[in-house]
Order: sequence, then structure tokens, then C-alpha cells
Amino acid sequence: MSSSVSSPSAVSASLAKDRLGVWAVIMFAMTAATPLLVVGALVVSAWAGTGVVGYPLAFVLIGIVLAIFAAGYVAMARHVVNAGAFYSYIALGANKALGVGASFVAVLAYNLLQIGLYGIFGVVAQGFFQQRVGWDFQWYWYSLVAWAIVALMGALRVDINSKILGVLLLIELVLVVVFDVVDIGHPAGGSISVKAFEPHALFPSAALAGAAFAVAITSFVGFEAAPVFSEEARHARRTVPAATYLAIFVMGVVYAVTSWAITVAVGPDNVVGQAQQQGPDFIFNVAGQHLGHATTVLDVGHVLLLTSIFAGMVSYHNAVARYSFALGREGVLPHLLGRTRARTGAPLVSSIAQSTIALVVIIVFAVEKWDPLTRLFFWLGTTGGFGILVLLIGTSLSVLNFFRRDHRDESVWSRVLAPVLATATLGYIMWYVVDGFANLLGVGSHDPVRWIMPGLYLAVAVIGVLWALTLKGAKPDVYDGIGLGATAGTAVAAMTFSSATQMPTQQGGAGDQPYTTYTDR
Amino acid sequence: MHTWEDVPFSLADDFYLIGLDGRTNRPRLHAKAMNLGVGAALLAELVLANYIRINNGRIEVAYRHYAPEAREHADMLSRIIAEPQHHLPVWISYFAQTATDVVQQRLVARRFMHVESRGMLRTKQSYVPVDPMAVEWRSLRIARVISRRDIRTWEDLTIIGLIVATGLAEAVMWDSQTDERDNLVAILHYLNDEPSLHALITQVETLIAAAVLAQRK
Repeated sequence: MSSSVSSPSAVSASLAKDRLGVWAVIMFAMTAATPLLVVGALVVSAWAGTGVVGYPLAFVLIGIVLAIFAAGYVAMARHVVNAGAFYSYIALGANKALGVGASFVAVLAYNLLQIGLYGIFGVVAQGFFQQRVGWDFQWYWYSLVAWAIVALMGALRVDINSKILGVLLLIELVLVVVFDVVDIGHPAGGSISVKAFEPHALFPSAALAGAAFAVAITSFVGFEAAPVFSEEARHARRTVPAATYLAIFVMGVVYAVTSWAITVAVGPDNVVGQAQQQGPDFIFNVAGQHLGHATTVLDVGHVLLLTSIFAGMVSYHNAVARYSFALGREGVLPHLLGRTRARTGAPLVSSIAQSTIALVVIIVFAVEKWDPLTRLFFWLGTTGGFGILVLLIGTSLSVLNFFRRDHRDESVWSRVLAPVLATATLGYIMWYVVDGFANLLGVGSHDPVRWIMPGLYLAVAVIGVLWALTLKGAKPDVYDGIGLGATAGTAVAAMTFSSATQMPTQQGGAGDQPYTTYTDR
Repeated sequence: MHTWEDVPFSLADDFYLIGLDGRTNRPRLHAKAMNLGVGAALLAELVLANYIRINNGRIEVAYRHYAPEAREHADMLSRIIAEPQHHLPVWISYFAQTATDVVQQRLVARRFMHVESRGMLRTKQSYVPVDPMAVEWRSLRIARVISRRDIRTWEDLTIIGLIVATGLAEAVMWDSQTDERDNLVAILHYLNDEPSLHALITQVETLIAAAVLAQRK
């Protein structure tokens, strides 16, 4: 900004008071960590389904790859409007048509992740209420209750207080650390085995390793959320990267150690069999038998697991609603999706749309009597994670391309080396995952489902790109606004058809920076 | 008994009252949208008094020989003159922080509202309209302007732009959506003649949408 003054600005100072502090952003990023859900439910299901033992190593490897990815990701976040969304990066760094393709991939992926959680919620709640209260309801009744609450919260824009989420996470972490100490303190056979960290535990075959990588990627979903505060966090240049790296680090360590501790306690060779027998109770039973209060541990664990799943549902629901709200605002999807409710500011239509899709899926699973754990939770969840993997690769390539034209004072590591390395390793991992999709889903290698699930992304991506190209011809204004989120067309601008006052765009206006919110940059 | 119909209203006061449900004295808008709308309305008052104009995403001071009569306007203008480096969204967000207070105090001074102490210790203050029907009348009046396409002032045009931008329009309008939408399109078309107001109003809408995406209320 050419006209900036060196004296402190009263205006900026006043607005800064309203900004999010360092801890608020870090807390927000950290609540993406869900140790009980990941280790207690996802990894246990994965042990049972894939037979691979080496998830601890998979977490370490994926954690490292994501940290490398994050270097370019957080660097570009400083230069993107709507920085909370992968497709904004791709629209800006690659091109708008690919951005729309990516946005459709993202909407599908986050939907699958969200809806998958209704499966595990139903199963855990069913078990819990059956044991404690003697209720004998099917899993889907519990899922439907959770669905109704999530739908209502989304429509009314009621968020779970971040402090409550923080406290729940803290309790969860304490519980998990206690489990880890107890598990490692009672090793099977009397000696601590590190077999789960050895390469052959993860790579019994390429296809099986691919399945394990998909599970590990799914576990880390949520690490990407901090840049949503790029424009309204204090010292965002440092806060957002710090929060992102810290989230990856904590998730990696907690997931790896906790899953490893279980293999220590029951013996690496028994993990798969025990996981198949015990399901989501496995992690609690293992620690509970040594703690001496098995039922209490199980109860506390179950309650925390349920709250953790519920928080995940709300968070993914909001992610989908925000994505479709942005796409509605941009005119890529019907404008109706970009509408908010005046009294609450909720993206009402987007929220209802996501809830409707979720409801239909729950009902179909209930009517068809499909398994809520292996099919609804594991299939949808891991396929959702695979979609995130696709987006990570697209984002990395876009980061590379974005800084190719203009370095914007970012380091060579952030704008070239890290994105190249991330693209290569994530691409390699994706190849593994596609190769191992049948193992991931636990179906025969010729079962069409192994191609249908990952193929869904190709289908929606192609539809998205074609739709964008149609828009480019029919509505060039809409095409130009792709990826701009809130700064894309407004209802007032659409009604006035004005060319006199252009909306501020990426290069537009007097400044050289995008400005969606009150940030002076 | 005099009718409120004839009382001239400041733009921002009027917008604020339209955003209020007269019967319950509760806002029809969430706080962020209300503050941004009222903040922009105060800036629009300065635009319409020819003190400022908006050009290329920034506020330009158009007249600085005499300070505006109203104290709140004079405060705003001196602030804008002191720090010319900020973009429009920064200014709207800045004035939004205090705009609702400014308007409430203006309405108290004009004896349209009064302050009531609430809560156990009577420490909470709330602004209550003297005549709830008069508050309702502001919404009814603007709805009538829309449905008759009876635009006579820039103030009314700005208010209609702001109620569309903030999402208030649906709460205010009467008829079926398609008719009213046609009316709104016909009315808002006039905004093309006043780029400063157009820029203000579209920026408010963008800021509200950005708040949705940032997931902060």
C-alpha cells in the first residue's frame, strides 16, 4: 500500500481488539485432533478390516508428508481470499475450471466424512445404551437423533463453544495418555515390541500399505482448517502456520503412540484378531483390564467418544455448508445456497441441503440393513479421506504454479521445494491407495465397488470442470468470480447490473491485496 | 395526536428501526449484520451530505471546509481525514463497532426511544421504543415504497439497498417473492447513478458473507 503511514493507526488498533488471539486459533486447530475417534474407532476398524498392523508408522510418515505440504499451504494462505477452502487455492493457482472441479470433490469428500460419522455414532451409542440402560434400539435411531440435533444446530447457526471443545479434547488427551502409560506398562509377553513401527508391518504388500495410508490421511483431516482465520487472526502470518504445524505434530504423535501402545499391550500379532472380535470397545477394554475399573473406563471412554464424534459431525456439517454457501455466492451452484437467515446469519439453505443428503443416506443404510460400522463409517470415512488426498495434491500443484508467476517474498522452500516434494510423495501415496482400494474396503479385487468409490471423485471433478467451462461461455462474470468466496457477486450487484462499480477482485481496487474483511494488509 | 408518518428520519436511524421488531423490541438481524448495516448507513449519510465519496474501494473526502453539523458526522469525518490509508471495508467494519450505539443515542435524543435499566442489579441498559407501533411503521413504510416502486429520496434507495444486502428484505416485504424481486430490481437500478452508495451497499453484503465463511458471528 503506497499511502501507508508509519504512525500507529487508531482504526487498526480498534479493529485488532476484535481479532482472534494466538491461543484461540491454536485451540481451534487443535480441536481437529480426535484421538479416541481415530484410534478407538478408525484404526480399530482398519486393523479388523485390512489386517495391516503398522498404522503407527503410517501416522508418522503421513504426518511428515503433511508437514511438508503445509509449508506451501500456509504460505499461499497469506495471499488467498476464502483461504479456508482448498478449491480457492486451485482456482487461483491453477485455473478456475479446475477450481470448480476441486470444489465438487471437496463437497463430496466432506459430505462422506460427515455422513460416515453417523454410522460409528449409531454403533457406539447403541452399545452404550444397551449396556448401561438396557435400551434395545437399532443403531440408526441414535444416528437419527444425532442427525436431528446437528441439522438444527446448523440451521440456527449454533456452534459448540470452542472452550467446551477444548476441554473435551483435553480430557480425551489425558485419558489417552493414561491408556498409553497403562498399555506400555503391561506389555504382552513381558517385553515392549516396536514391531508396529517396522516397515514390514506397514508394507506386507503395496496394496495393503495403500489402504493403511488412506486411513492415516483420513485421521489427519482437519489440520487444514487454520487458514480460515488468515484474515482475522492477530499476527496471522505466524499464528496460522504455527497452529497448522502444531495440529499436525500433536495428531501425529498422539495417534502413532496410542495405536502403538495397544499393539504393545496385546502383542502386535494379536491386534488384528482382537480388533475383529471387540470392535470399538477394543481400546477401552485393553486399558480397562489393567486399570481395574473396566466398566468405568468403558463408560467414560464411550461418552467421550460420542461427544468427539458429535463434534466432528457438527464441524464437517459446517464445512460442507460453508463450501456450498461460497459456491452459491459465486453463482457456481444455485444462488439459493448462498442465502443466509437474517436473524442468525446461518447459511440456511446450504445447511438444510447437507442435512437432507445425510438423512437420505442414513435411511438407505437402515432400510437396506447395511453394516453401519464397516460400510457407513469405514467406507464413507476413508473414501472421504481419499478425496482430501486428491485435494492435497491439487493444492500442492496450485501452490507451485501460483508462486511461479510471482514470488511474493516467500522462501524457496515454501514456494518450490516443499510443494514439489509434497506433490511427489502425496502422488506416490495416492497411487498406493488406488492400488489398495479393494483392501481398504475389504472387497474382492474385481469388485466394481473398488473402482466406483474412488471413481466418484473423477466423476464429480469432470462434471465440475465441464460446468465451469459452460459458465465461462454463458456467464463470464460468474466464471471470473470462482474461488473468490464472499467477494464474488453480491445480490445487490446482481440486481443493479452495474458496471460502474466493480467488486474488489484479486488484482482490483486501489490496493494490491484482496480484501474480504477488515484486514489492512 | 401526530402521526409518525411525517417525521423525517435520518437514514441510519431508519435502517436500525427497520431492523427491529417493534412488538418484541428484538432485532430481526443478527448482531454482526445489524452493526455493519448501521455503520454503512452512517457513512451513507456522509455521502448524501456530500462530505465523502467512494472511489475505487476507498473513501475520498469531498468537502472539508466546514465540519458537519452533527457531532457523530464530524467525528467520523475527522477520523477519515486523519487516516486516509484504509480501504472501504476497513472503515465500514470500524464504524460498525460503534454505529448501533450512536444511532440508539440519537433516537433517545429525539425521544423516539428511552433507556430502561434491566437485570437484577439494574445495571444492564436496554433501549426501548417509546411507541412500538411507530417502530413497526418504519418497516411498513419501506415495504410500501418497495411494492409501489415509489422511490423519492436517495435515503430510501439506500435503505432498500441495505435491507437487501443484510438479508432484511424478506422480513420486511409483503407480497410474493417474484413480484417483490421485480420491484427491487427496478428500484435498485437507480443505484447505478450513485456509485458511492452502490459501493457501500455491496461492500456490506460482502462483509456479511465473509463473516459466514469465517464462521465467526
